Amino acid sequence: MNQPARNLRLAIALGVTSLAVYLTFVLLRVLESGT
Amino acid sequence: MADHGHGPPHGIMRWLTTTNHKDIGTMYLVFSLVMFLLGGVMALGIRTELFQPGLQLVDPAFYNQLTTMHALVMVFGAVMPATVGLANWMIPLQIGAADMALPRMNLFSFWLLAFAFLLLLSTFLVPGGAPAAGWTLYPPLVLQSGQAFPMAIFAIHLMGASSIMGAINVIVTVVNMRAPGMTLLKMPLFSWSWLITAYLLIAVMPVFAGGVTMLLTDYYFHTSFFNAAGGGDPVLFQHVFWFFGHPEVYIMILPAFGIVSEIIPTFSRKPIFGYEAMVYAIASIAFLSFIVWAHHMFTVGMPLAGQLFFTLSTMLIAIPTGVKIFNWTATMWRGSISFEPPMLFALAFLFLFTIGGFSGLMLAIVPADFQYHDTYFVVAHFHYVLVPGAVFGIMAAVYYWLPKWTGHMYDMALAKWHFWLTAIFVNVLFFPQHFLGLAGMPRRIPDYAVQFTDWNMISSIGAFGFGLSQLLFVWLIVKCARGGERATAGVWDYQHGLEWTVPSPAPYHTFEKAPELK
Repeated sequence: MNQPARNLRLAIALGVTSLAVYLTFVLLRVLESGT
Repeated sequence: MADHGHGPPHGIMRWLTTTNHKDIGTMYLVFSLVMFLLGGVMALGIRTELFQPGLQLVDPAFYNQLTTMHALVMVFGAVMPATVGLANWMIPLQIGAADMALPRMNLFSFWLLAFAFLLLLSTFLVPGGAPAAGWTLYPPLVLQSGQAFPMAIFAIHLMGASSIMGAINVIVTVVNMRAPGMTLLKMPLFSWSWLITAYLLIAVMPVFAGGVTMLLTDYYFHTSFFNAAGGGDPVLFQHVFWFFGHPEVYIMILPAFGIVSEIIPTFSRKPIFGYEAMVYAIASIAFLSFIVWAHHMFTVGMPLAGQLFFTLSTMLIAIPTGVKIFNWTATMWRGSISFEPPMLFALAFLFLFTIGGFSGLMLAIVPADFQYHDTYFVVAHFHYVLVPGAVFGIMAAVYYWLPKWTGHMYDMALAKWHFWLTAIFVNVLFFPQHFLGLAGMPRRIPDYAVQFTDWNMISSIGAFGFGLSQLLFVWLIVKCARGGERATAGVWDYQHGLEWTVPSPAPYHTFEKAPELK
């Protein structure tokens, strides 16, 4: 795999991680409160 | 294949369309300087009002807008973008990379930030004015905001997205783009500090975004995340906010740690003492920053076990921080020290940041915090951490790398004037605020009881002295950018790191062929 592809793969992984953190904090609260 | 031997394009298009890490770094730094001056003008408005008891200059509603916007502008507009600018300029040069890993996203991050601030600052013009509930945006107060509310929330989302993309860029660059032979434990400490900072950003900016999204739905869609009447809990927001807010402090200070770790060895003419310990100390501080958040909210009434945990975890931070202070001191021990402007700022950082650290330890003690909470003591504490801490670190970096950026040496005498005036006035400005807080003066008030007058007057005089001194800084940078004695590639007597192997000013394209590491 060439370097731009490796860069993109890592960037997407990090982006998905940050999105997961965001959703965890909002969705967990929604599920917990049952709203 | 495109010819990469060219210089920068000319005119405005260079700045609108550039994907060059040096240009983007410069844009971040200039943006940050403008925001620093703007946030400074707001601070002078606050200090002018507080010069005497009574209401003289602004009405209380506008005063609250000033305190809120001063904080948002300084944290998200001045300090963070300055460190991002330094990262853009220096990380590729320090690790031997040709550019940042994702140059287009890099440019997008910058313009997103610029747009976010245009939006945030324009709230001063809407009916009801700018956000006024404090930078912490606590509900239910913040939910009483007017038309500024959705604009501020959107601006915060954009800033967060910009920061996350910037952090992704730093991580990918450091992980994938290091020159062959540049192992992680050979990497300069500034790049190390930013790598760890970038992980912090990815972990906590989405939490803040989640918190403000919940505020938005409470405001517009009548959800009850933070509304007690609907079964929610306003204290939840404080937990969410400070889970972001405490690491945010380290996001601002860790790059400054990295900068000081570059500068002290150079001007002591010795390698850093305990390099690996410095890396582990930064990593430990970053880890601990996730488990101390509730020390900001002891007064909400938490169980004793919670109080004990957050007191002790907070005090633990003193250990890796102590390691760093020890190692910087040990680096200077028997060094051949000289006192050029970067070193002066780094030394002032060492002394004055430590004062902020000690007052932090005082605030970590629960019964004492019950007394100090929401007083000027807290204001004094975090300003010592952020001004002679983060801001002095940034100024030290500018004085350290400015010849590399512009190709000119700056006016040393003027820089020393700037340092001494800044270092003296920062103490005149913030030290009396400890006394005011201990005497019981609350924060975020435009008027106060007469017994607080004297120290407030002194603090306000310090504020104007500090603010005016920064005009010297601006003048010095402009003068250096326009001309001056030619800087050599090495600039300083004793250098370490790849950035000093390229000519000054650093060519538009560097390390297109990976450098050979000894």
